[in-house]
Amino acid sequence: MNKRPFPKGKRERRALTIAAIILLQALTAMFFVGDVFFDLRAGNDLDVIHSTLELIAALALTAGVALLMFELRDLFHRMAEMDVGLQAARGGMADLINTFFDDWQLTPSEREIALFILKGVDNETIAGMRGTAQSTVRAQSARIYAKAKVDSRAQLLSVFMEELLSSEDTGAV
Amino acid sequence: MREDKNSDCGLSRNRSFAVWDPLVRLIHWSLAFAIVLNGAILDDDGKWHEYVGYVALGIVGIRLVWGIIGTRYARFGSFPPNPFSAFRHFQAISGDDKTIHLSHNPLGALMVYNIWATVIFLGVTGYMMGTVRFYGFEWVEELHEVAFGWLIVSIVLHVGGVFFDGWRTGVPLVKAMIDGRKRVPADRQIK
Amino acid sequence: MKKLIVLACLAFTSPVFAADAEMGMVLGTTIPEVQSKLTEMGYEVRKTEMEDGKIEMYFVKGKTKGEVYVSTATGKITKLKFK
Repeated sequence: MNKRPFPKGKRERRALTIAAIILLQALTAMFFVGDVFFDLRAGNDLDVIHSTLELIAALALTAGVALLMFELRDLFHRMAEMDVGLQAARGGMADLINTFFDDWQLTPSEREIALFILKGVDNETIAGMRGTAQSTVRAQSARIYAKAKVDSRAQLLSVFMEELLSSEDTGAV
Repeated sequence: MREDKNSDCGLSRNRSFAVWDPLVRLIHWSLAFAIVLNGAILDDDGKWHEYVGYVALGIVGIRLVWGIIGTRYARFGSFPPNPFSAFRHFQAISGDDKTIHLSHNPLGALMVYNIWATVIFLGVTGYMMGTVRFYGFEWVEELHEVAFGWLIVSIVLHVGGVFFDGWRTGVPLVKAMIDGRKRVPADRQIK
Repeated sequence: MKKLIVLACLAFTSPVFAADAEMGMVLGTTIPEVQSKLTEMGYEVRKTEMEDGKIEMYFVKGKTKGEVYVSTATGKITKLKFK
């Protein structure tokens, strides 16, 4: 029941990969610079071409690191924003649900069951989780639908979807 | 799946913030690993010890750059080194202030700057030991060893501090350094 | 005759080019002995230790550095490590 179809997982993996490459490239660049430095210090006859190539490689890697750092920063901030939006939406959804449940005057048990229904949990599982019989759950569901003035699970869900999806100028669909 | 038995809809109002970006987390655990390698596993006299030492220096270097141009909570501005704030924070937590800092709190900030400085000092003295000029001199070796001792003390305090603060605020901090998110209980203020 | 005198003089002058330490070379059986022999050979001794019953010295010469282990029994170099 806990599916995560969101692209969030993919973005997080990408961010982690970018971070790993930043680290590896930066360390490699330092390795090349260090190589040239230690060669100079040891006073060995420098292979000038070799050392120059190492420095150029280090430069290229550093440019890559800088670019990737800005990329990662942007990516992370975008993810954080999406996150904030999602949590706001969740908060809003919670408020919306509470408002309707209050309006329909659902009992505490009915609120619980209604939530399960909205999440798509079937009667058998609900009964199992509440430690009651399926027939009890069916009876409670019937009362919920009556209070909400709907006929089925799908219609119960659509009450909320309509609210979320409606634009200002259209009234009831 | 947590379901509240009250009328609050079962949706918890705990908030979750994405605080530590992947680079901060990677740097943290790589540095810890390098320290374990050099401090406890590799032969002090060997070439590997030297190379891992330079890698550790490099990792701190990258963190310092990231502290300048990185994500919001990774930047130095989010956790400036301020002994006065640290003292005030200490007073606050001795009372019952439960404000949560999303980045390092002022005490934690001092600790991270301390650890970075100590690692740099270890790297520099280590480098010196490899130069002809300073090779074999007792005093350089001793500086290196004392610094290592201080690093161990710092790490013990660091780990203790992390667990204490996690317990005090209700925010799981180790988890936060693994998946980046600080899960803040419902009634807390954020700083 | 001249050749003999030149050869004899050479035998008594101190070395112009310092010798390099090699495995098996005899340096001495006590710390002062080993240290003065090394110094004579052009090495600067930085640190002296006893390790596993052997005399250990850290030395520097020009741009090279390393460690040498000498047996107290035979006075020979048992291990030579350049860094």
